[in-house]
Amino acid sequence: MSLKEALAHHRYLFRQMEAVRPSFCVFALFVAITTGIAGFVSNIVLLRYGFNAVQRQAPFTHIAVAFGVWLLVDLFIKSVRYAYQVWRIPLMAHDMHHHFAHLHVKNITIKHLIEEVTATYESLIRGMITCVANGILLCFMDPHLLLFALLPLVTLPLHTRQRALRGRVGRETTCLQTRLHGLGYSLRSYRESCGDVLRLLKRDGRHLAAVGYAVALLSEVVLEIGGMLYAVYGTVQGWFGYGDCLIAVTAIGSLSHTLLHLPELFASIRRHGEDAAHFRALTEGGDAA
Amino acid sequence: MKVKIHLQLLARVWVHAPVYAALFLVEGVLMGVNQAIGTYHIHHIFDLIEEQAGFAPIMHILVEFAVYLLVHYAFYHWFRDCYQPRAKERMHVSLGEGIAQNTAYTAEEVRRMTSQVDELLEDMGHIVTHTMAGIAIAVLLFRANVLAACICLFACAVRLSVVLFHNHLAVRHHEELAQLEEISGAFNLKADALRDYSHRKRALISEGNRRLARVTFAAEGSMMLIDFGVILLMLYQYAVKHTVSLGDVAVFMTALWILSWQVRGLFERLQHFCQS
Repeated sequence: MSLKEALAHHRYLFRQMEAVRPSFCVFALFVAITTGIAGFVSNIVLLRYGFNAVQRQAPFTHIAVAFGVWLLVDLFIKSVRYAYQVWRIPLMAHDMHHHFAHLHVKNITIKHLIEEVTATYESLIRGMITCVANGILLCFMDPHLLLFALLPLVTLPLHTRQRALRGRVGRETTCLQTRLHGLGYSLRSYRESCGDVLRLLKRDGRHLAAVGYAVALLSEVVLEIGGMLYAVYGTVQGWFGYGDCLIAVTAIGSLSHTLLHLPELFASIRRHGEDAAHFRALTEGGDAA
Repeated sequence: MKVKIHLQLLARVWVHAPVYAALFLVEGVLMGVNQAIGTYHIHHIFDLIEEQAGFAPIMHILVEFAVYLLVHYAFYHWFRDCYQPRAKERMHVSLGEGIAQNTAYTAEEVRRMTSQVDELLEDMGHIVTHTMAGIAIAVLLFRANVLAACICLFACAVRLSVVLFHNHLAVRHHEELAQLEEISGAFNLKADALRDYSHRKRALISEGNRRLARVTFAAEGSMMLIDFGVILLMLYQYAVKHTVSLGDVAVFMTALWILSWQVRGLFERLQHFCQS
């Protein structure tokens, strides 16, 4: 299923949710945006401010007041988020199930669909906020820092290869084992045929380890150590404050990991698109009948 | 009772595949220590920045860290991608034969047992990882500041007790819902009764989940309050009292969240180990 088709099916699902419980989607959007911003502010901005303020010997009361105000705002956002995640989503699932009860759509189907789709879109929105906010911050601090965040993107093809390899090894191993068990499980037959599985794992395991090591080398070692080296050098030279140095690596890691996981998020949107299409076929068919 | 059975199964693995079991433990220890190594380096780097020692000693530390990471990832990928999948298959055969020789289990039961062993080994590895990481981080925090470290440990204890209470509430809530579903499924309900059942279920979901949301918020909110408090305390001691170093403050700013995740992870794994 193409991304465009998946988005169309999701739009239908959101329209149905909005019809059953008006303003739910707006509320969900509000939660995703505010929690994305709140996470960035408390993990990056506040720590940077606190450390830099200490370095320039700002009055401690100023720091305490800034932390206190932010704490109150963050507590409010967190309370809204838990009310949404733990309370509102299960209620929404129940209401949708009740609304479409005449079509005999299973409760578990609707519950799973709503939970998965809302979680995916929330992650996508938060991811985008993380990318934009950290990108602007790093650009503002020193555009060279952005390079360390974008460098791991060269591992994207390796990531894709790693996923494909893992999937193939998993499928082939399961297939072999199912065949063995399908013959009637006996330890002797298993022992004799286990050689096939071991040969397969030996051949592909080395490959998988090499690709995994290359990904870790580029994305973890180059990113973490390179970014840290540059940030520390900047601090020693006096370009950066203590706070900048402390949060630079966190911001670089956060930006690059989010960028690396965006393809996975789009893949899961496509995957849930199929479930949404199934739900659409059931409800539209049922309504027409 | 379950724990005893699980420990017996793990003892069998130790007999039939000692290297495999030992490497799981080694991996757990390495992964745990790995969580604290980064924080340890940050402590040193910020202390050197404060002492204005120049770039060369800091670069020396970072090169050491890079070499450590290269070795760590080499071991991790060799173990997870090359060694472990093949050793697992061999262990299944050896363990299965061992069980079948001594007891009257059917082949299907043996197969189920061997797949349960995989889960138990994963649990054991994670328990070791979380324990090691928790201990290593706690040591770093205590070295930096005893008072603030004690507050962090207290916060972890508070969080654990709230999580326990939350799990108790969640189990009760699911039991109530399952009971209601059972009643509605047992009788062929008419339209009016079905509507009534749906309203009752909605009320139950609303009430139960609202309670769960409150407890979750209480747990997270109290942790946030304590974390912010500890960071402020450290900043105060550094800026006003001058009793801690810059590295000590940096350790608290980076390790606070890691300790909390590790303690929570350990608790969840222990629960899974005891209940699976």
